[in-house]
Amino acid sequence: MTAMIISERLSTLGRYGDTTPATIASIMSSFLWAMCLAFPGTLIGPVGVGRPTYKHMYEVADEPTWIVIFSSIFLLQLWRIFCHQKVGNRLYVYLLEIGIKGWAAIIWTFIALACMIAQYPPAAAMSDAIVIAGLCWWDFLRCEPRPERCTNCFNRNCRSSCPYVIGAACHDSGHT
Amino acid sequence: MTNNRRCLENATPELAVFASALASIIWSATLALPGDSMAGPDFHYMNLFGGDRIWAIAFGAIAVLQLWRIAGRTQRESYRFAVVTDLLISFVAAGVWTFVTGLCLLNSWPPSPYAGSTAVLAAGLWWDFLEYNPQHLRKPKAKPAELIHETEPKRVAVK
Repeated sequence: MTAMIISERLSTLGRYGDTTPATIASIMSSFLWAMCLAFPGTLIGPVGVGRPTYKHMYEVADEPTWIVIFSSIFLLQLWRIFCHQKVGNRLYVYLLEIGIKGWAAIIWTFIALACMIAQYPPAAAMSDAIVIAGLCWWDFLRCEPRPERCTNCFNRNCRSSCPYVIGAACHDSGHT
Repeated sequence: MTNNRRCLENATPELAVFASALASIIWSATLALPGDSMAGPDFHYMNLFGGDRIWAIAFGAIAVLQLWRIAGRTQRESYRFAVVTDLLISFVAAGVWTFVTGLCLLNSWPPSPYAGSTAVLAAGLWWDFLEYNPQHLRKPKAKPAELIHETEPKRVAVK
């Protein structure tokens, strides 16, 4: 019974939940990764200089490049969060958005896997990067052209796209 | 600016709870693997508070409690008990994640970047705690499956 309720809520959340927190998680995480890498000292470097957890990341790119990559994810996703309601529903906007989300998902997946397999036993703290990668993929797969109308009441001005909240009234129109 | 303030209006903190539960399960499973995960310099301060097993049990307990909290929301008979346990579990989970984030950041210089992802999950759990809404505890009048069917969004063709 418990497992059924959990899977039901997870399924509803996955299909109808707002993906904005996933984007925000990716933004915050990218910013913190870029900031930590920018501190003086070498984290991603050759064997003996850098830390062993990041050795596969060093095989792909050096530390300054990773700072640029994380900063690009942070800035692009932050820009999308701030500007998505100003540009409307254009095909190029949708392609741009799905490209940014896909880029973030691929980078986070690579980082999570590269750091997990770098040593044994794997670095337990990379579990959080795995979760961030999962959230990015969810955000990517749920990305669709933004509907101009509410999906429940078809009102153009309604902001209550929250059918996920079971049994609770929505914000504006009161539909459940 | 108004739009930016509203960007989390339709979001639910339950996502943060599921994310932290999943992360706790992976932490627990990783720490339970044979070998001394806490021996390295990255976990020096965490190792002072307990070894692999202690932390594996702690993370496993957080995952189980968080999932039980979500699953049992509409099952518990006493409303007051439900509110108190919900708030207590969310506070403890947020506290433990913040503590772990702090320990990971203090371990070495420059600070380990993975602590950034841990900090994000800790922030999500504080969001869950501060945005706590006891309305979720009320039992739905109809079966959840019927409600889900009723509230499924109708597809709108976008031109």
